[in-house]
Amino acid sequence: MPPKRLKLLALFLYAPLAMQDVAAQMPTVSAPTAESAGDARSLNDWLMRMHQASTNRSYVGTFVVSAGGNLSSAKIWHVCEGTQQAERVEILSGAPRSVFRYNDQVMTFMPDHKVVRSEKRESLGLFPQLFQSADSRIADFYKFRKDGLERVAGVDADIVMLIPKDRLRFGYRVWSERKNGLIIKLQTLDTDGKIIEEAAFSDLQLDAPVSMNQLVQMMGKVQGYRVDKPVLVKTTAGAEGWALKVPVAGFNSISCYKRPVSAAGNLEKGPAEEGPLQWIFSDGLASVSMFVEPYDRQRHVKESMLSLGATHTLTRVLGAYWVTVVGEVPLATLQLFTNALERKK
Amino acid sequence: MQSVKKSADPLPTYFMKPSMTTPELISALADGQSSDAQFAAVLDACVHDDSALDCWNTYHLIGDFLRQPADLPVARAVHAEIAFASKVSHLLAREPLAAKAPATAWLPVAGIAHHRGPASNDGNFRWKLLAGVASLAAVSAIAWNTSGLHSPAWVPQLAQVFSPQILVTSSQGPVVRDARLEELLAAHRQFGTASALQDSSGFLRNATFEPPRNAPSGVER
Repeated sequence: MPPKRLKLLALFLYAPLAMQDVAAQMPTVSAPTAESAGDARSLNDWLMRMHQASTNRSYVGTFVVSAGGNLSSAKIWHVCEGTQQAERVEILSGAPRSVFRYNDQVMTFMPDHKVVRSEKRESLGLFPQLFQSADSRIADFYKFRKDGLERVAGVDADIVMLIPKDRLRFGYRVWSERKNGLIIKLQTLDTDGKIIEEAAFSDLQLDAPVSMNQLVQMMGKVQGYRVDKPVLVKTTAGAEGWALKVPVAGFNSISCYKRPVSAAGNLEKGPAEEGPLQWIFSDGLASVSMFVEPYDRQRHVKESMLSLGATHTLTRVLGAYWVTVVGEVPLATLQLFTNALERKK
Repeated sequence: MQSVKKSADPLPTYFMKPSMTTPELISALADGQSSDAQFAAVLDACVHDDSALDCWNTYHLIGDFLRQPADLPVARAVHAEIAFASKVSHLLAREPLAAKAPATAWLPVAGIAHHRGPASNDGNFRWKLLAGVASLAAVSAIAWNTSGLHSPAWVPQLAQVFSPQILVTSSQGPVVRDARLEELLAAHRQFGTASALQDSSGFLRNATFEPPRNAPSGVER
């Protein structure tokens, strides 16, 4: 093949990418400004409405997540009865997995390994304290703007933009069902306004008949499976001897756990060895986990940065410790977290 | 361009699916990615199929082109190389002993990758761009964007290092697998999500999006 033709080919391949970049641009965000109380109320009202829709609507649909060129999809059954919620997520791509949720109880069935992971997810019960508490003001860090209407998955939806006021967090474009506010589609936009992750229903049947009893029964069928129940010990960063020298703007400490020593970790070191500490932060929309564990020269070979869709990861040596920070935030934010972390003991 | 030929080798490994065509096998070999079994299959194909040899030469032309600065007259150099290679094979054909020796004994697969220098997808933006496009099209390849941090002065370089979104597919480039990091990522997805926006849809997102176990957790650049 003559080189000229190859060059043309490369140019042709690049063109759609360049166009996509232009199409995805959005106005960049200016420095933080004082917002009127009205704006904050409308933002919180929208968030509340979106949340309530997920607690009082039943539906069946197909959910698709696209991140870093990787596409995953799942079939969803969601049912609400009074204050009770149940959900079944049947993963359609990759290794077969079924996830069942009954309120904050989550069971993940992995039929390939005949293992079911059972856990309680406290984060699911955090709403709506996340934006109602005085020290967590989403409206201080995100601007809110309505951005028109669109039909998605057969449903009329309002488009709402959540635009960060600084470069420490990502923006969101949310498609929210017109009548009740259920989130139909969600895009995560980087600090330049490019789409880095997308999650959406590709089809959605609202108010579909789903039996909660049936879901809860399916969730309990663990015969033939090994039930894996990770024991998390609740603690505080202070009690474990860790603190942030300076807070990262907008991010509040949410919880802190001691994790069990993992199978992939250093089992050979015996049961006395402690697992990593997981310290969780949130600005109300984005969250960050800081994992701290003893530095192991053999395992922790190289400090690195990784990104997959909106999720970024940074690893770093801190004295005798190895720190891994993971979050749906820009790398610069993770860097502020690692810079601020200090040993108090 | 090529007659599509199923591999005779029965080993369906990570890199070698039963459906791998001759051009795919040759491409893997040219990038130093093929197993011994695949190497044997390629040699077999080249013996029986002239178009396979053409394919090998074409891939090298592409590889050389992508490794070169844009203005160098690559074609001439490659033609000289091809002429040299055919001369060598002509001479080899007249050496009955060498021709009968087992393939792996005189030309180990690892040796090829070494002698040819880095794979054509290393350190070359154009190639990575193509790889990125391919991964977007296939939608199956997982794309991690990574960088090592050897230099203590990496902090100010942050913006510069990460401004181009370079996608590196799992079948290209050296893959670092780190089960422990995978676990921490899973722990973040399971317990670390505290978002007013993603209370419910965030749960769906995290449940739906879990990179498959055989996917790489990182690609080193």
